[in-house]
Amino acid sequence: MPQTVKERRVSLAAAVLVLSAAVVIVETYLWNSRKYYLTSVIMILLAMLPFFARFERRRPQVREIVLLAVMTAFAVAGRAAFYWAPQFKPVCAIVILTAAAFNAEAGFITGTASGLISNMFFGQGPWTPWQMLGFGLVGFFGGLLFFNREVRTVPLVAYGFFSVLIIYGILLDTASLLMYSQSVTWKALLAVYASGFSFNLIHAAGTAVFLLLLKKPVLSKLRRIKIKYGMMD
Amino acid sequence: MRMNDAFSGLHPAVSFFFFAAVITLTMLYMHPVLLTVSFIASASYVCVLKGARRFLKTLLYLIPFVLLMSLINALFNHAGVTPLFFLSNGNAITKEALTFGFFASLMFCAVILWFDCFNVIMTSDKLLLLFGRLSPSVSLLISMSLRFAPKLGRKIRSIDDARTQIGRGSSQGGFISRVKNSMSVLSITLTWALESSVTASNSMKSRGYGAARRTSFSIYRFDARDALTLSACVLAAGVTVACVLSGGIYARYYPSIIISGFGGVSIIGTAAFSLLCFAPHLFDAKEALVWRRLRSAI
Repeated sequence: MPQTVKERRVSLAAAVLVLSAAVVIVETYLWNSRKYYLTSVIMILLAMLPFFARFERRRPQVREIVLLAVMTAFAVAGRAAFYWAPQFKPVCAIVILTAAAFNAEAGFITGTASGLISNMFFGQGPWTPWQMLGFGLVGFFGGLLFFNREVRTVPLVAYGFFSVLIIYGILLDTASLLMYSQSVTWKALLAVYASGFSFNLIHAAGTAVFLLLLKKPVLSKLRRIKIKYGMMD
Repeated sequence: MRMNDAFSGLHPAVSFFFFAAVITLTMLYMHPVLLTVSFIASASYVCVLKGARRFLKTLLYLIPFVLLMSLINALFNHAGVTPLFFLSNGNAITKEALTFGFFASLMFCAVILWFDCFNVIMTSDKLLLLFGRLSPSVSLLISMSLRFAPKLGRKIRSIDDARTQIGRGSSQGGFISRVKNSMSVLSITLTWALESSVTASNSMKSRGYGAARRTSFSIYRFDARDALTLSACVLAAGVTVACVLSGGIYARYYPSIIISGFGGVSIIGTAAFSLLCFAPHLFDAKEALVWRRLRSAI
């Protein structure tokens, strides 16, 4: 059955939505159990599926894959280089810059791959899917905001700070509540956000600092290589 | 394969199914007996894989965590019918909340310990073998960045060493110049990495990347032993799930604690779950026996 790209996208999105709804319905009504953590991980995997499916479907060029692999490795090596500083990591900054130079999809792929691969070095755990989604979304929205535009320093740094504080921070704090406890209430959620706030603040400030320092060299290099070799068009 | 553990030498599909089943079932059922079984199995398997000393180190930070989480649950959760004492604001600390907190953190410990084993056994090559075929581009990206990450680390060090000789190292000068020098090192490394990525992809293309389906090297073969172990694990997991679904094994913590007693179904279910959790130990014991018999036959 011949389908246009748009139709395919719509049907994939619909399939993911239906599946997610099915998971929730089975969870709450048939099993009558509230396994928040497992349900959320299934939903995260479902949510990431369309991004990867799209990347795979459009048969990316070798150059593109290798380039994203290099940026991912850069993020991972950056996380390793700052292993002594808790939460002060350049991963998000590198992911955001990659997204700004190439596109939102590149940001998402680099982000999720960085989460997965850095945990291959530092240890996988129940937090891996959440970190992947967190880095991926920070990159994705960064790409939507800054790709194909003149990137000004202040909005970029502000985006880095707030996206890490809000998107990544809230995702990972929610994850830790779902991991440790089965009783999810607003009060407990607020308590977890409050206790995680200082860590998220360090992470966000670190991202802002790295963006400030890395913006000029990294963006100009990525753009140069894009123009020189005609990549990511 | 590790010398003292034959289970990690099995086909990656078997290992992956084992971990997926054990971790999921541990998280799914908050039954005290099942959790204890899972915890003991994971703890002893960590000892086999990483040694008792490393296990004790992990335990050292897990124990305060268990105590803390039980306490926090009791402080935040006042459900349950058996108050032990009342806080100054009138909220009750209940036996149910304390018990639930304890078993929830035991579950968390067991999961963390299983992931400890997972990280030893499921190396990146095994994961790529299992999931590489799902998405060739993504798995190429992952395997390339796994190779690039340590390479970049080495390049950063060598550039830094070279710059240190001319007084521009990342640990020379005051704070500002240190930051500046570190950024220069990173920037140089990035230029090198980007150019080399283009060289690498040109080289890949001229060697025929993308011309046909990509095959990957694997030293794993799925043999009768793997099939047998895998079907035993599937069976044990299936029986456990069936026993829980039939209502033979259950645990309720709020408002009052009700935990299934010892009936026929609960004994079968617990046995099946124990078989699953202790599969690595049993497999290793069997291999040790075979080895001894073979040796004495010589």
